[in-house]
Amino acid sequence: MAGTIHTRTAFLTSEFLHLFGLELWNKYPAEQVTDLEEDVAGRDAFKSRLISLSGLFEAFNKKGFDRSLGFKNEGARLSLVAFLKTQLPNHHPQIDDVFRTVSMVSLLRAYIVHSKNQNYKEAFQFFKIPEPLTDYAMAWASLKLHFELFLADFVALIANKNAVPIKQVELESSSIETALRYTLQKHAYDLRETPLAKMMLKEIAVRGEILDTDLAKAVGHPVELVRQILLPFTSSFIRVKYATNSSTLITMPEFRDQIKNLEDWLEDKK
Amino acid sequence: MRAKKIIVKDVMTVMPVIVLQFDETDQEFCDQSGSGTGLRIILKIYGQRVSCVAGYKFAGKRGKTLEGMAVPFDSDGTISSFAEMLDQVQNIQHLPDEINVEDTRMALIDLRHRPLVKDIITDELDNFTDHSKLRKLIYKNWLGHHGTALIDIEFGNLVTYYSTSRDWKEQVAEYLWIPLQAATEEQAEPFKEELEFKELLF
Repeated sequence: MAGTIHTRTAFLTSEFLHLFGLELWNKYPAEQVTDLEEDVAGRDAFKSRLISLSGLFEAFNKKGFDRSLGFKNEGARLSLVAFLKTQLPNHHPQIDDVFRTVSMVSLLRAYIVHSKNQNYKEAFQFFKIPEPLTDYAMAWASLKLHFELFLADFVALIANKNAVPIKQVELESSSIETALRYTLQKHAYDLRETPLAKMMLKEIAVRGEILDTDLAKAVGHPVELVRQILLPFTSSFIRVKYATNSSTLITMPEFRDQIKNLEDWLEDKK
Repeated sequence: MRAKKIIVKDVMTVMPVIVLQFDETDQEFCDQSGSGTGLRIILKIYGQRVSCVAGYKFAGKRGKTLEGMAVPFDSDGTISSFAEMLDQVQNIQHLPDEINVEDTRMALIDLRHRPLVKDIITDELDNFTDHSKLRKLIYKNWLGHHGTALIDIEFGNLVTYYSTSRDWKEQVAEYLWIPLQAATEEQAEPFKEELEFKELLF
């Protein structure tokens, strides 16, 4: 009966092909996968499982990846990592994180199979295997668990290939909306305490442009008061241009619609 | 790209850094940024303050200190618009691979521009709680330049002034909006010499 590793590996294999249009494996490593499901009683069995596990990582489709990349890589693992990085340009650190398991398996294999002890302690720490290694069943259980997690993380990682990023227009409109809210907040005191300010801004919004002297007439207040109240808004919503030696032209180049509906902007959303 | 978080330690020092390194998979980005594969970037993090330096090799920096290699962040509409767009997402990985900031930048310019009345004037106004003894005047000086001044009629002081050879219309518009009463000829007269003014504009 097929175990978890077999099911997960098969799922990963089909997902990978589906997402990238390229085979994950040079040849599907059926034998190794079957071997990984076996129990471990002693050192020899542990060694055999470990060889199968690292054999699995050598069976990645190096040729296919190198061809797609246009450059050669040292080993099947690095080739796959480079391929994933070009396919998922925003997930480089995650790719490195996921594939740490693979490099740790290589380190452990070098130590157990070839007695190379360079950095082997790092692998022991990573898999939480106590030293000296005596409980092989336990050590294998940890390795197997890490491998199952690796398969799950790998599947989750490549699913990002289909992730839909936020659209440029949405990003734009929400940035502009945020900036507008900050600006309104900055003016909140004036807008709340001076109903005339709100009224005049709306009037300018409706008209697009108006002489300050005409606005003064429209609201029934002296032009000096109109200017004084609107002065803070000259750094945000309104522009003031010379008209005559006694009057200026007030314009509102942008955000007229929002100013027309000022209440909505001021009240319903904080 | 590789990214690695590292805690660098020294005597009494704990310095968390992030090191980035470009590799072959970043070729396209490197071409755009004028960098090359192998470039390493050290980001030194302390709270929200981050400093940064980059190089292919740090040994033998041709007499330069790390400080000399670091480029200060300048005020730039493009990057500040981008930074505000960044605020809009919880997860930076939701951002598109390419972002055009033009419309956001233009909108931000529209919302935050120089106020009509210059700081040199408003800063002075802020220094006075009572504006009733202050007057404004706009004049033409002997060079034909236009000047704006604030005077204190109680103590007979010149509060502040500036003159410019450009944009007299803009200056008139600003003058009209300064929230003070206009000085009369008599009130302006004592400042004629100090301001080198030929005549009041109106």
